[in-house]
Amino acid sequence: MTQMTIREKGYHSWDGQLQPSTLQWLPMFFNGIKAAFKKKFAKGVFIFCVIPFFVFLIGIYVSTRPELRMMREIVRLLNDEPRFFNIFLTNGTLTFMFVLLGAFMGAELISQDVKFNSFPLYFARPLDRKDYIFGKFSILMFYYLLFSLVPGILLFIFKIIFTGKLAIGFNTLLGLIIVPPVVAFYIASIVLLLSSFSRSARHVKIFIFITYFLTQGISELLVEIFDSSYFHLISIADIIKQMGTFVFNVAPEHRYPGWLSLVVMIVLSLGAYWLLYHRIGKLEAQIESGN
Amino acid sequence: MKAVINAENLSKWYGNVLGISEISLEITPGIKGLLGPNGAGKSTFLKILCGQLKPNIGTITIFGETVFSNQALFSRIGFCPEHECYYRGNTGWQQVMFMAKLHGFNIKEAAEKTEAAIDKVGLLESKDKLIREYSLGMRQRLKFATAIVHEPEILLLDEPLRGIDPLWRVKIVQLIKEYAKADKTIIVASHILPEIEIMTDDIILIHQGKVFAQGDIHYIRDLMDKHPHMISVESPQNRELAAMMIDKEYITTFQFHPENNKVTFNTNERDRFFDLLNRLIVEHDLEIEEIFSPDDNLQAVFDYLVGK
Amino acid sequence: MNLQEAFKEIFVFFFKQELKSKRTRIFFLISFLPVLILVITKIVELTNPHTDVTAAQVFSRAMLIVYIQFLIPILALFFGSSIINEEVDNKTLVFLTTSPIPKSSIVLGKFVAYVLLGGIIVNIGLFLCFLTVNIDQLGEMVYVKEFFSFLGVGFLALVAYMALFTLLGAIMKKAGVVLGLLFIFGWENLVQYFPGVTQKFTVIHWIKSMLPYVSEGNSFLRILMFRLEPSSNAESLVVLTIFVIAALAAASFVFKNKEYILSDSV
Repeated sequence: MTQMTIREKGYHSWDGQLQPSTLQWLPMFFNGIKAAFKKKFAKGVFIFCVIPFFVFLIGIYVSTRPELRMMREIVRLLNDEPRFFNIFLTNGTLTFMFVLLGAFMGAELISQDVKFNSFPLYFARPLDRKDYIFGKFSILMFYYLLFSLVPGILLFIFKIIFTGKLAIGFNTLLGLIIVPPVVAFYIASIVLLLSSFSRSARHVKIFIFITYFLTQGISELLVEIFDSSYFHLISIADIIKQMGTFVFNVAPEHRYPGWLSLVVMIVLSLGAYWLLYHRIGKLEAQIESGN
Repeated sequence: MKAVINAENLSKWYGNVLGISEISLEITPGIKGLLGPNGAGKSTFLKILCGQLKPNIGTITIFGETVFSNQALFSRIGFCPEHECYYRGNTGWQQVMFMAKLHGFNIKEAAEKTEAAIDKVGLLESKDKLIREYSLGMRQRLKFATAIVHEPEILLLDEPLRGIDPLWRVKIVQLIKEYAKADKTIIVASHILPEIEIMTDDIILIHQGKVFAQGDIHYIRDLMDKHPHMISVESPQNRELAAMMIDKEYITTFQFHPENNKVTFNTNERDRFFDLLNRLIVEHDLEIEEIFSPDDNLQAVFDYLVGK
Repeated sequence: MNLQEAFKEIFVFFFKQELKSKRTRIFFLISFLPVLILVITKIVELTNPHTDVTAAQVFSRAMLIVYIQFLIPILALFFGSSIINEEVDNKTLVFLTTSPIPKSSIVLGKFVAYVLLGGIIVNIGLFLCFLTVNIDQLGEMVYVKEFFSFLGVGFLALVAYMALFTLLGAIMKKAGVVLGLLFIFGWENLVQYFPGVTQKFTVIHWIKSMLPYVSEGNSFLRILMFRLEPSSNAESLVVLTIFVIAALAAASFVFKNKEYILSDSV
């Protein structure tokens, strides 16, 4: 008679055959979106994030009514379509709102899992680290694109409606498609990496803001000390602006090649993803060993 | 014996959610089992007792003094909370030592008390390990050590045996009983009936925020007129016995269990039933293997009271 | 146990604990970033005598402002809001509040421990900055007066901000951090441009009033360094002292009377 082995009762990593599917993380995405909407101040933060869209929308409308003589700066911008959309997608206010969203929505995405030792719950299912990270990214990316890509497209549609002109420049189209996801991925990777470093979401929130303001301050200092615009690459807000000017092919904000911003953002984002991937592995191992 | 803890008309809400409602209790020294399902209000009651929460209505006094913000009272109270809580960067020794010092002991006394408490829970060898490296059971025992380090007169234990291995469960129960022998007051809250049963017969049954019953488990059972007592008799002559008892009005139902020669009677009057049973056994020389009451225990009482 | 003894036990325990914590190490690193920048500037200055920007200029314009107007408020928010909230988050509050110690000793003991720790973090950074500036002229040091003034005022700023955020943390849990950030980067930055008494409703106004005035700078730095209608040193010191005492008293009062529900929410 074959002796039955006593299996250890408890969570253990899924060791079955993983079916080839790239959407294992989808339930995490839906769950995360629902959970974010239920947060106490969610509606307030969302309203705040949508303000730039309405400002620019009003600007588009006002541009078709010259007799109103309002918002002249924005109206003047509309004559330079790529610049208009570049400023909408890369202005400092929107970037700060993304940081705020990151702190509000993203701070606890991984820190809560660390605090409550939730990794066995995930990895005892047919999910690997990549799926876990994709799931977390997808939540943040959803909100970032909701407040950048979607309003950008809507602004474009409203522009067509109000001005009656259907034509779209190649750079505008390219910018509308590329800039929002690049910005979203860049900020999301920073937020999630910071979230993985602490059990306390409160601490992560503060560190997100520290990172944003510190990089800004250090960048300004170094630019002044070395009289070199390259140090703007350190600042989150400045690198986004410069990247936007490159993609939309408008006059650059700072005196260094715009393509460098795009490259640095992509490299930093991938680097953050790589760090996060290994960090999750380390955390999972720590939890399994009982620490 | 004079009541140590007096609760009068105690009620507590968390927003719209009721925690406890109109609880009035007098608790004397000894071990009291606070029994109830999850969400019954046990932890809420204990938290009010140890000053974590303020009651919305009613009063709670310990040794005649109000509890909330009466910090001096806590030199006489030890609390072992249900949830995990420890300072991550500390060793077991440091944690208990800190608590001992907060109770006013000087370094030497605190060290002695810490060593004694840690030794009682079997963590002396691991005292210099970081708490985050402890297993769940070890952390639970450490919490217990923290609660007893200052030898309080009142011990409030919320699910004290959670996560503890069987060997240490026995030892902790022994510790609790020894404590009770020294005229201390111990309230043990649990939803696990066997845990309470091995510690004490004196229980407070709590459900949906209310106290359903209080007192000795058997006394409570006897008071429950609505539910007939079940008495099982194992005998090769179980059918003859049933035939002889069938006409008695205080026997409401009976059920045969042919697989083990058992008959279970339901009766409203236990005493009359046992009188009859004894007489029949003697008169008819019946061979009886076993007599027991399946529902004269905490589980049954609890089930009846909460309406299962 | 009386207030004094309890305070001492709490202070010693949390100071030692925090000294070895990861977040303290992170803040030490952040505090050394300006030092690093200054070292780089000094190296550039020593290797290129014709450079426009010197370490001394950077020290006077920006280094100290980075500490006073960024690092210190953030440090204070981080630690001040944690005094009570971390005990609630970690559910260790029960250990402290079921001990026979005055509740105010918990707030005060932790407050002093964190202030001391924050002071060490900031002052070591400031000292290293000062040393870096003067590394090639130890016999004739520059900005000595400014350095000591920033040490003292910086510490006072830390105490004031931490008292404020301790109170905020005692009253609210989640919103406290957001409000604190809005206070530091919103209210305090905006209001200092308003003439009249409005700017007196900030901590930074009183702090800057006691700092030696620096007029140069650009963009981000100029915004940080600007001050309008400074108050006298004596008035600033008195106001800040009263503010700290009031904030700590209020925090202790709130902590003593408030119920803290130890749930699993963030």
